[in-house]
Amino acid sequence: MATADEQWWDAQAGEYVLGTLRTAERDIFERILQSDTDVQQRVSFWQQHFSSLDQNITPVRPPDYIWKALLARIQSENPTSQAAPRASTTLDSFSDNASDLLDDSESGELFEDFGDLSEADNVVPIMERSQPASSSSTIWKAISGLSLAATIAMAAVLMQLIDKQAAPVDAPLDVVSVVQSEELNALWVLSAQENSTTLKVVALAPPPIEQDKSYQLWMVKADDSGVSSVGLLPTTAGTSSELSLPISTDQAQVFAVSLEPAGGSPEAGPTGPVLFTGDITTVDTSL
Amino acid sequence: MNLDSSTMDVMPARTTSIELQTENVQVLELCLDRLAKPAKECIVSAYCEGFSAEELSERLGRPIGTIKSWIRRSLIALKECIDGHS
Repeated sequence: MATADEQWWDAQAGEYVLGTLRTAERDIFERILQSDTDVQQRVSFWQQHFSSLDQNITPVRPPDYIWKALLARIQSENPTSQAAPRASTTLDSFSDNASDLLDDSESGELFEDFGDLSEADNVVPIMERSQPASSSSTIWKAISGLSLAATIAMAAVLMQLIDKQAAPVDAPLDVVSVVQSEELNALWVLSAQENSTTLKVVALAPPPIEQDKSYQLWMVKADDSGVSSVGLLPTTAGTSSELSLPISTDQAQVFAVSLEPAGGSPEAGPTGPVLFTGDITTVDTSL
Repeated sequence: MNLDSSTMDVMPARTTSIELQTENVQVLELCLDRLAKPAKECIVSAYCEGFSAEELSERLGRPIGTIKSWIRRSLIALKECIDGHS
């Protein structure tokens, strides 16, 4: 049976690992922890046992407020950049930034107490080391090789960085589609806000095309009753454009891209082969 | 981390580490289940979601002193329970 003193130190060490000590309490505890092996063992006990709770944590998309704070920070630090965020596209630097942003609040302690987020099991790596801002085409190529979910998340942010005319950050994107090749490389990212007919298009890595050809985007209707033309897609990596949605995204089941003569199909439907498709994803912005 | 031969010699075998981890998971689950539901929620939410005691107080609608007391009593009970199963 532990003495009251031992129980007090067990509780103190447990609270330290949980992150529920107040700042002053934690500072004092950390000073003692540095030199007291008995306290170190008590902390180690809780770290070892609570670490099994880590396995219950499922991968999550960072909440919107973190994205917004991150984006605001990037823009304020790098107001003249029209390209990619400055070396902030790795999860390492993401967590550093997020940690900095939250340093003023109690929740900032989360990042200190539980170590480097980039090594945690529940964090989905976004991408390898980023490219410098000057090599904007390289970053688009890098993004095009990402997983679908990561592409959607990154592209939604980057799209707004390169296009200052795009919707403000506090107007979230509701519908996103990534047009992919057969090898599942992302070629174009399409996005729209709910109740808007404007479709924003970013060319990530459009395949090379002959001068007398165009890529034309179509919406395939949900009931297989045909297709509606959306317009021509940009063919230079890193460029964006806006097209007008002919039908609402919830009336369509998929986007499709066909190869057409320059300027687009002379018919009401595609005249060339359908080369690529993109599923329509509704983004949950209720976080 | 440098894994020279002397370090390797003192490292536990991987299977042992996994077995130990599995045992820790089972014991922690068993002991957490013995706590009252709100107390368990405090512990798990604080660790997994990073809630401070103040945030738990707001979330559960209980005074901060009650939350701190739940957490500390739960930790002491957990320690005894885990020690009893080791």
